[in-house]
Amino acid sequence: MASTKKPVKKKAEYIHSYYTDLDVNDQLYASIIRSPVSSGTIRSIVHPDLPEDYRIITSKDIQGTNVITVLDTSFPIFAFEKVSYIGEPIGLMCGPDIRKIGRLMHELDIKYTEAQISDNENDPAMTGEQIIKHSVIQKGDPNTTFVRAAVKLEKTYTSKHYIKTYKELLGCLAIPEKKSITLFLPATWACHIRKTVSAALAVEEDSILIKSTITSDSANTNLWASSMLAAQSSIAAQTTGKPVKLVLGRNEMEKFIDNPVTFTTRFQAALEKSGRITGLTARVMVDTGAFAPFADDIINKIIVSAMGPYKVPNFQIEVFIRRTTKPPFSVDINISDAHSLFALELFIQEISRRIHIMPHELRLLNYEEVKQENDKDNDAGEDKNPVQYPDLNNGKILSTLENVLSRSDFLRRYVSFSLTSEAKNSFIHHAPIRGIGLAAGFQGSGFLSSKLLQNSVSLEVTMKMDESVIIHALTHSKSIQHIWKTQAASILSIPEESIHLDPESTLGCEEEIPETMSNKISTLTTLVKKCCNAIQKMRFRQPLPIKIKRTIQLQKNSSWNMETLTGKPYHSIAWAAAVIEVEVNTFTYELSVLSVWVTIDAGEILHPKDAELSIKKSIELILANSMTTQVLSAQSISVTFIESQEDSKEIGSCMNDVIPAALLNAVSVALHKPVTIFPLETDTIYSILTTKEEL
Amino acid sequence: MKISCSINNVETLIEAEAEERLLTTLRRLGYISVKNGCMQGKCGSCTILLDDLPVPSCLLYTGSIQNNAIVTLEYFAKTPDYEDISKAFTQTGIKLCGFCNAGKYFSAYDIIKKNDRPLKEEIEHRVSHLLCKCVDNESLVAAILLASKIRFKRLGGIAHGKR
Repeated sequence: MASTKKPVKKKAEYIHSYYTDLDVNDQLYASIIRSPVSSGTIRSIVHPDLPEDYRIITSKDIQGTNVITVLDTSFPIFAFEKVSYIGEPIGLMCGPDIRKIGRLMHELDIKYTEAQISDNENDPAMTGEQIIKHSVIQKGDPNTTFVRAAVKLEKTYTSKHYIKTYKELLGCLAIPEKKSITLFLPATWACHIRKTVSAALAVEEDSILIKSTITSDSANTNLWASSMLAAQSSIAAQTTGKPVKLVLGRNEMEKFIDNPVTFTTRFQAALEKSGRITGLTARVMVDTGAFAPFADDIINKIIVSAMGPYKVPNFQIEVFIRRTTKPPFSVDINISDAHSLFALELFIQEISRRIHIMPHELRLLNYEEVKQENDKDNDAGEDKNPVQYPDLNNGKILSTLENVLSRSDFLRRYVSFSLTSEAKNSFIHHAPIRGIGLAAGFQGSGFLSSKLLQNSVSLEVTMKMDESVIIHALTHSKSIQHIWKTQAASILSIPEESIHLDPESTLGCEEEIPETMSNKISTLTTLVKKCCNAIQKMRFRQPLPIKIKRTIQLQKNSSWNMETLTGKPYHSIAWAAAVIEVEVNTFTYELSVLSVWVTIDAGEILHPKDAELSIKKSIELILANSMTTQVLSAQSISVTFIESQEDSKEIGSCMNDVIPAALLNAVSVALHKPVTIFPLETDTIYSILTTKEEL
Repeated sequence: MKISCSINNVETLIEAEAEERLLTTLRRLGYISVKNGCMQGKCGSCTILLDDLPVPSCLLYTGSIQNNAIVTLEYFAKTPDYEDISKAFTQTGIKLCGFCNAGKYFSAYDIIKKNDRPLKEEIEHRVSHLLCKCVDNESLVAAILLASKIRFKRLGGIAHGKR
């Protein structure tokens, strides 16, 4: 007899609630015991007088494997033999009263042997082991262009894109049952959580039930953190046999989850007198802390974006990923390229200031490709220089830039503010000074060299007997839900109330990639449209219910080559340009953001009002985190979308590519000196204003 | 220690340690609309009405409460004032993240309760401390202005606060 066993559907169930609001009977609390040293060996964790209901959980209590594996990188759930950074989890303190746990944690006696290690880049003791990834790509011969150049410029930029949010603290509530364990947590990467917990507890993956609660913003950055916290609380629940709630403290979140990666980018440019950049080198150093699970993605994205839309005939891009004994840093993979775009736009501004050419003219001049002598050789059939410019759909940038320039009256303001700030020493003392800055950038989604990219994305839509429709996908984003429903309602001519979202489908296992990877939304939105169009064609010819499945092959027909940068690196690319006007108070050295103008080309905008609010929110969030000493907020924000009938593209993080650069360029115009560090401080503004520029 | 107060219009006797923060006490008692945001009194997620004034409960010691009236969003959500603000938020297209609701609603309430026709600059100043940026300030200010009009109309155009 044939087996009729149905395949087990491994899907996270969505709960519209915060896990911190959930409590169950007999629940224990847990706090993480952290390493007091950055390098060495932990020998023992003891408490002289631990009360009966309290216990310490360490790696010895793990029944499965004490490992979290993210792509090619593995690290322990609880370090014991060797610690890699200060504050690394080495155990849990569990008990029924969270306040008592706090007191007991202070009385712990942790015995360890400390090892000496240098983190200083200039220290001769720093070994090659600390550079864990290194990549270099070159087109043409930049070194020769520097010898021949009329003008040579060099500048180093440091950026930490730091979005500090006050949302729910990360953690997990693990409830053990007879043959299963249920986890309540914000699960953006449910598949990874399930695999990690299953390996740690030495149980089948099917016995781990994930109830995904409302996702906090922090879940986007340290993608592996949820897996680690789920594994830790599950180990405690398995050991004690009781529900265990583990919630990080705000300090722990800031030190170990939301701590941003520092990107240091050094540019050197060789220029003609006209402003044409003939050679450009970029050396990017990324300090990722103790572990760098997404190092390949970071390196590849930086290489693709390091030259931005500029067609520099000779360039070299060199990227280093450093491992240090700091906690592993958070990086939102979706915006890891924003750092190099940011540095590039600042460097372009600096070039325009130094050679006295308008910033937009310099940009337009260098967007154009120049035929080189060696290219002519290539035309003759000799392939001397296989490295090309990645296809970033550059045509879009011109209309975007023109639109934002005209709306902001950029040219007049730039000239006026530049003249005033240049001459401020002669006729203005202690007056507020103004500046205006421009930046352009792109958001790519579905990076074809990413290890986290799926080959294909599928979606099912069902029209039931009563003509109600189920979209078999779910997102916590109300805007995206609204877009899907509006789109389906419009195509099928049914009320939005008849459309429901449900992740259950026959498509099997949950996706291998994190929910927040940016290609998901644009592809799923396209798939909703395709499925609904197919249903609309069939609904009056075939009996209901109708279930339609559609798939997008992301890598099919892709000619993208990471080695030579040929082809299109992203599934879709949205372009954005921003202009920001600022005022610097020369008494307090505080900054005011007067106006922000943004123009975006992201294909068809399905819900303009939602898109506009989402962009405005994103701008406010970035501005609020642009100064460590001040919460900036824009007095007015104007957003325009270029009308288009092309497929919708992701815009969720495109402001990260333009707002920090436009802001610092505006400050640079106001101060008439380069600003090279992001985020800003009032002290930085003071020191820039009061020190003489070294040329 | 035992503390006597009114929570959501019900006389209550709370048992708590004197140095416990009011946020922790309220959450322990099941008032989960009070969220743990920054524990520094600057994000607004733990806002409550204490004697009809919005205050961050993370900064208050429970022991400092004595015979005060506490209102959380659970109760406030049943009032016409909440309806006014909610209507204005919806009409302005604002979708709150859910975590900062207490801060946004109670700040809006405090502004429109004290002044029937608040000035834009006044609102900008009063909401500038709300660090959750799930809504841009311009839209939030517009929504609060609209809420003040809705409330004014509901009350029959009778001025209750300063102009």
